[in-house]
Amino acid sequence: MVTNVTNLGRSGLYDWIIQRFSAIILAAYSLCILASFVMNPDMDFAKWSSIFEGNAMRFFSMITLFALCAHAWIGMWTVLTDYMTPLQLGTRATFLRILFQAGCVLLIAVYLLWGIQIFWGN
Amino acid sequence: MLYLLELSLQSESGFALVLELLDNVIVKFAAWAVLSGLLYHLIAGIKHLIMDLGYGETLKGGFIGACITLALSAVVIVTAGVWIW
Repeated sequence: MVTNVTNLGRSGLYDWIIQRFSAIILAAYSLCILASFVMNPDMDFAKWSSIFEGNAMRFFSMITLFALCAHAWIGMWTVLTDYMTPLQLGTRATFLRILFQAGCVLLIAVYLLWGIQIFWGN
Repeated sequence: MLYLLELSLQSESGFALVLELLDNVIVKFAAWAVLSGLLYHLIAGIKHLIMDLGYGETLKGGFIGACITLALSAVVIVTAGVWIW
């Protein structure tokens, strides 16, 4: 079974540390967005767009987007190499898993590019 | 979700359209489902990091941690549902 060419960091140790740091970034961003909702119960367009307008928030959003992509790649790799193996799927397991993983990576790429467009486009 | 974010940030009318879409019961339920998965992932992830730091790495500790994770998630998910509706 070919696994080590499809993970993000090409090494378990890299993946492990990337996964932890991206997790912390994602948690921090989630809590910030949550706080902005709690502090603005009467959210309107002006407030909502001003939250995402500042440069600091743009960088934060962008870093979080990259963290999300890395986190999703590593997470899906971990799950797929655990549960799409010859044990469950037989001899075609590696082919099916790589097909599935390619789909995930494509989706991650779309999210990344679309996200950049949203946060930086207007 | 990304589509809603794009719409809400594009223009005032887009923001109004998102609010209108979120009035729909099915959209509300979908938003709640996505939010629930995310919140559970967040809480379970924090538990995972705490265990990485070496706390609760026993059979009993693992059981207690899992119970706390599930209970806290249930509370937060119900709260999110109340907030959405």
